[in-house]
Amino acid sequence: MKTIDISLLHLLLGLLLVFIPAGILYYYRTGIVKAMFLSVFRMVVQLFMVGFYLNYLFEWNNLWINIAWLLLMTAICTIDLLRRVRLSVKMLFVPVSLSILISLALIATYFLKVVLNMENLFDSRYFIPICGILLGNILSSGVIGMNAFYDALTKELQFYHYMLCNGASVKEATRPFFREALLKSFNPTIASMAVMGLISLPGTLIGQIIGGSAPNVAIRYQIMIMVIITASSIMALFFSLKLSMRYALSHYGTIHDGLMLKKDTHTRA
Amino acid sequence: MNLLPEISFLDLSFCFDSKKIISNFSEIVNRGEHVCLMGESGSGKSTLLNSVVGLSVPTSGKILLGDLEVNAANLRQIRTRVAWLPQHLALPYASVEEMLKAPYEWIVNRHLHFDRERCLHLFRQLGLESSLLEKNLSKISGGERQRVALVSALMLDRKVLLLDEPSSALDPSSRDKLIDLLRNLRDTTVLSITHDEAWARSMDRTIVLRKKL
Repeated sequence: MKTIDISLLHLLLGLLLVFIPAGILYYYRTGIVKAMFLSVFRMVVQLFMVGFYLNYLFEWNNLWINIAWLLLMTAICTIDLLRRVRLSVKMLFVPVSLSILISLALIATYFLKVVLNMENLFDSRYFIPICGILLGNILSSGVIGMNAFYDALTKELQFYHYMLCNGASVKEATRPFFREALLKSFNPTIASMAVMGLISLPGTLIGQIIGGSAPNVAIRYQIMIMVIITASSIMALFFSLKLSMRYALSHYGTIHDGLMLKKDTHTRA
Repeated sequence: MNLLPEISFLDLSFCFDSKKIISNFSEIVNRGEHVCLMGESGSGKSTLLNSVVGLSVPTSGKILLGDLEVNAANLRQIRTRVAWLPQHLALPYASVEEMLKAPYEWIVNRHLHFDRERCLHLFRQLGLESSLLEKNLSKISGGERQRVALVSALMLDRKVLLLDEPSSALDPSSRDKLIDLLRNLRDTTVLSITHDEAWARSMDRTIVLRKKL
């Protein structure tokens, strides 16, 4: 089955739909109409750029270029994650990027080698989209989890100090904050898995079916995609928290000055 | 009283943002001695108290707990010898009992067990009702919370108590009960911060800190 192409004219016609949410947001004076248009513009430009470079990546199908792409994307993902949660990039870049890279490498290798039984692990057509989808989800769950952890730690600093100064180890004293971060980060994933196929059809499944795959093949991929997303996101968050604590906390267990960057007085998306 | 040094502040100086808070401070608190720190806000009372558990680190000088220097290497040992209570303690535990039991889950306290009878005995001594144990921690008053936190510290049988304004939320009668209780703990060294004259009078000694201009 051939996928129906979308011409540029028809894409523009489709983009007209953006004016519906813009109208509602404008009517209620939300002040985010400009930000929404800017986001749509960014999305369009970024995706066209991705489409452009993916063509080349698939064509070259080169091990070193793919690895370089992965390292670059991991670095961008780490910087974006830390900036979004207002944590010092300078202080936490190394532990967080390492955590993301390790989790990504382990889960992607397992999926591509063991589940898909691929001979060439770095085949662009599989390696790039799989790592891309994992990175995207690692970023969103990482933002929620890291924010929940460091936000709770600073808000309940006295509780943390109380445990620490009365004999708890750093591991024991940060345990409640760890639990909080994991809950906040993975409750949405668990909830979305529970209703998948019932009230929502996921993007990968739809993409594969439109792309010409049989529904039973698309469903198997979707199941695996959900599993590897959950596994890599939870691993990346766990390692990020564990490793970042070594950089964020002093030998005395106290939070280093300069870890938390000042929050904006007001933030609009 | 045993004249063995328990807490030694040796030629301590603290600077924050290039501002000197404390300079060349030396003092020894002996084992079993009950001492309080007084002084206006910003004179460095909390900095000094917190330095014993490594929450504030001196720019120069050293602190000894017994013969153990307070530094990163000895910190774990130091923190298992003392009980430290801040002035306002907001703990996210559901009930009072859960809060009191929490420290027994930490490795350092696994050899101890939560003694309910002793807990209720301390409650009575501090004028707290036994029904408080089942209450939601967020539903009790500031004074009750302060006394519950003290019971938690006392039950760990630590030899040194570091208390930041332990009577600030207490009425005179509750404060006097606490003073009576501490008076009987002659094996325990107490270093506290206070603005309360009656509390200061009940201590063996008062150290007054002056704000650096």
